[in-house]
Amino acid sequence: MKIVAITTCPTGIAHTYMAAEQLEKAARTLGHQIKVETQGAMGIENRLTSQDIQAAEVVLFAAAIEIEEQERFDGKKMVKIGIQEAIKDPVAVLQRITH
Amino acid sequence: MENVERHTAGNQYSITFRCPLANGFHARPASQLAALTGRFASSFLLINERTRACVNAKSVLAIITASIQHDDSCELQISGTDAVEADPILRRFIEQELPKGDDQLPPLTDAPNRPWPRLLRQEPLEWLSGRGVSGGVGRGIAVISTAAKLWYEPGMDEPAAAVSMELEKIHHALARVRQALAQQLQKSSGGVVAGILQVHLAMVEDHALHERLTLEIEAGRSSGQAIRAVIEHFSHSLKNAESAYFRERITDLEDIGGQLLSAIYGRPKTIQEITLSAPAVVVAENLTLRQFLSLDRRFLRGLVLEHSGTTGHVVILARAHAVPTVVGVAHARMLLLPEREIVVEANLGRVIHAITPAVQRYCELEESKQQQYQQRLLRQAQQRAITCDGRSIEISANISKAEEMTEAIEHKADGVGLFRTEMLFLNRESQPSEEEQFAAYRQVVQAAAGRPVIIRTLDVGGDKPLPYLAIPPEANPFLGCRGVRLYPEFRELFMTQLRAILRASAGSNIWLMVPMITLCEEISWVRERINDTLKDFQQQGIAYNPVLPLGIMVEIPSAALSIAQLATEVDFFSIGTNDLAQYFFAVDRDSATVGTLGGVRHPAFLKLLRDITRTARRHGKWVGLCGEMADRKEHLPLLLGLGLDEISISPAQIPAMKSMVRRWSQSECRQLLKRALACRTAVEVEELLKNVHRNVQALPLLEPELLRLESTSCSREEVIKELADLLYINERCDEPLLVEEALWTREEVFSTGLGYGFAVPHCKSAAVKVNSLGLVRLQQAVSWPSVDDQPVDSVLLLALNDREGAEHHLKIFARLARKLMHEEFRRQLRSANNNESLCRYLMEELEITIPPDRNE
Repeated sequence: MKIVAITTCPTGIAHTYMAAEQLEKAARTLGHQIKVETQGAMGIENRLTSQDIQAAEVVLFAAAIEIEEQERFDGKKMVKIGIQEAIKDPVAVLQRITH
Repeated sequence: MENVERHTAGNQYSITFRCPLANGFHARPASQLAALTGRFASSFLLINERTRACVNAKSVLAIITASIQHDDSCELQISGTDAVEADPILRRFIEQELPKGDDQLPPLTDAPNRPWPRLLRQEPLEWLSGRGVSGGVGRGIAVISTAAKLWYEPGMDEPAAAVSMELEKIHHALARVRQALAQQLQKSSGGVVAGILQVHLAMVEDHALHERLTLEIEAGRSSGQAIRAVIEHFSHSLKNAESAYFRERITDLEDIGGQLLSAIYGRPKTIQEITLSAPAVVVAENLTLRQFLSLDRRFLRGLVLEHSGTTGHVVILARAHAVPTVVGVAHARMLLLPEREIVVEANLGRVIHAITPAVQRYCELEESKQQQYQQRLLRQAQQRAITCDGRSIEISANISKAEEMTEAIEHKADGVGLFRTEMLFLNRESQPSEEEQFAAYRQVVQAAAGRPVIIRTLDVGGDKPLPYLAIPPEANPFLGCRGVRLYPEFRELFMTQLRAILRASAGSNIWLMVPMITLCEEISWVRERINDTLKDFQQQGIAYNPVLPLGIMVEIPSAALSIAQLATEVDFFSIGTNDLAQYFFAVDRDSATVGTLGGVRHPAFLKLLRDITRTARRHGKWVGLCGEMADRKEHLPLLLGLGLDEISISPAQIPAMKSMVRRWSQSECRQLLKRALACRTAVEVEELLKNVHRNVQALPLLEPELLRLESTSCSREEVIKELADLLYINERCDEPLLVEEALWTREEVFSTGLGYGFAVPHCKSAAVKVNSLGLVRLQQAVSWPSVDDQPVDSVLLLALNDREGAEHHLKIFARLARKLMHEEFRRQLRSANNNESLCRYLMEELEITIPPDRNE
């Protein structure tokens, strides 16, 4: 399955990237395709393009603060979880949203 | 200056101005004004237009009772025979010198009511509140001072003797106190203490004080009664001053009154000396200058004052000596029990008087933080001071007594850059023998253990007459017979010193330096005397160092401009900036009127220094610099830019100076010097130095010192404090308490415990001076809210300054965050067994590169 995700946290220097790493790892394990955009202290990195978004079957937000440029996802199926959940058990998270 | 106006009417002159001093027309500028007006026969009236106070401007006491505050409109009226000469001089003083008269210490900022540190927040506490004026935490037994300031003395009740006898007693007392102050002033190494002593000296010499004392005695009072009456009179006028700054001067007056009384009656038994014999916190209403200076600072851990002033001299001194101090603690002497342990938390302005286990632990951690900070400085100071681009510079000590060598060695001096030998000659009736001098020089070189010791031969003149040295009085001793100029006439005195030094040179690293060289002929003369002496030594079989380096103090412009010629005669040069600046600008730096003209930061002076060092280096000669210029940290980049081989400073400053050197690169400093040389004024150079200071961030993100592998912290609170303190110890933040708060603020959003026994507290805060990555590994895991509810034993700190432009550091942190999600990385962090290997591992994994300018 094709997934796009965004991770973000208050200071934007640690949890954003931990969650991104965890989700990418879990997707590999489960055989999904994932692209994770990080919204951290360096701004938006690995930006999701409109093609990415269009191709995705599900959009995942792992966030402790507001997501920037959310309007990009209008009309898509969106799931929001706490960023700690993504760090703690990313496999369970992906299984839940792709069942 | 447009707010100074001048009016003339016959031989009356009037200068109107607005007071430019933020603290008002306080004691130091007042003593400068009084010294200046005192030179003229005319009378001087200073009028405060706001209060209508009209006072004699020849009296420092009268000037401060006029209570002139910042921006008050004032008028100085001059009338008399020499008013026409006085007017331009006074006008110049008011326009140019007065605005510079404020304190050297930065103004105290009003610290907002800070919360207790987390470690103490959950605990029951007992404390008194006040205002912290000199930071730090000190713990000791309370020593409560009950000393009265201006005491009652039974002898005072006795009827006055004849007026002439009482007057004689007063004059004698004034002379004694003046002499004692002058001696202290000479011993003080300048700076804050000297400034305060000068004010006291001006007060003792005050015309108004003398006049009033005379009047009281002529009215039938005894000398003791007169002193009390006069001090009370002046204190009374000061008590009504609106400005706390002026009210504070009452303490100074009472101090002087007390000294005058003890000069007449001896030290009374009712006055308790504050003696400290164990770590102590002194609790007092207020302290006099003399009381503070007499405290044994080995044991002094803190000060608690009921008096709430922040501008008193004791506060200024406490700040200069870094004694944790809280003021304005109401009823402290009543509320605190003598001999009980108390803690001064001066960062928070509090005095804790019940030592609970948490307070105990807090103090231990604070103490250990300070120790580690000092140890790190000393450890680093043991190594040579090398700039981050690999240029090394010797940091040596200025000493004036053999005993001071201990301090120099403790502070890791690379050598002695200036041993002033005058102390051996002063305050005695006959000159020191060759043996006595030999013993003193030997003592120094033995303590120096092979490090170079530059001994400067006797540098006296008509201003410091020695009883056994009949120097004829001169109108201007500073331009007269002094230093080397005396030697031919007092040949025996010089030869004795020379023999002592040459004998001490055997098997040691003594360098001989001659002061006040004006011309090449003088150093040739000295060279001949050395050769004569060595010939004698050879015949007599006395040992000496045949390759003893001979150098000169460069302190006269003619010598400064003859370096190429002098280089054929000498082996080294040491620039004496104090005298060189005075002779260069034709300015007495103690002068109230012109003392600040020019100065060592003036581009013209910097150019002179540049030419001296450049020429000396071209001739392959070693160049050092001694003098107060080197003591000031903000000058360091200029001195590094000059490419000096050495600077010589007061011993206590050495570790911090060495640490500063490591933060600069010489190429950067050379550029800075170039820019300073292109400046137009000293003020422009000062601005340049101020701004460049903030841009320097030569420390890397990660170094082995930021990794602590066996921490004994036993709670989340302690770990976070430890991390903040780690930054402080490594000079990466000044206020660890603020970093701690920033970490907690983030921690409160949601805990940074990420599972697997790891936590990553982080912050972005202005309190962080240098972006840092730290690690603390705990001996015992602590409870820390985590994703997997497991305790935490490995804690990583990510600390960022809030400035922009640290993109590459953010990238490293992001990389670190991702790596932490991998078991192998975590295992490596847990198992590494020393700081260096762990540091190397992290640098490789996180792709941390050493900035190119740190490659040597």
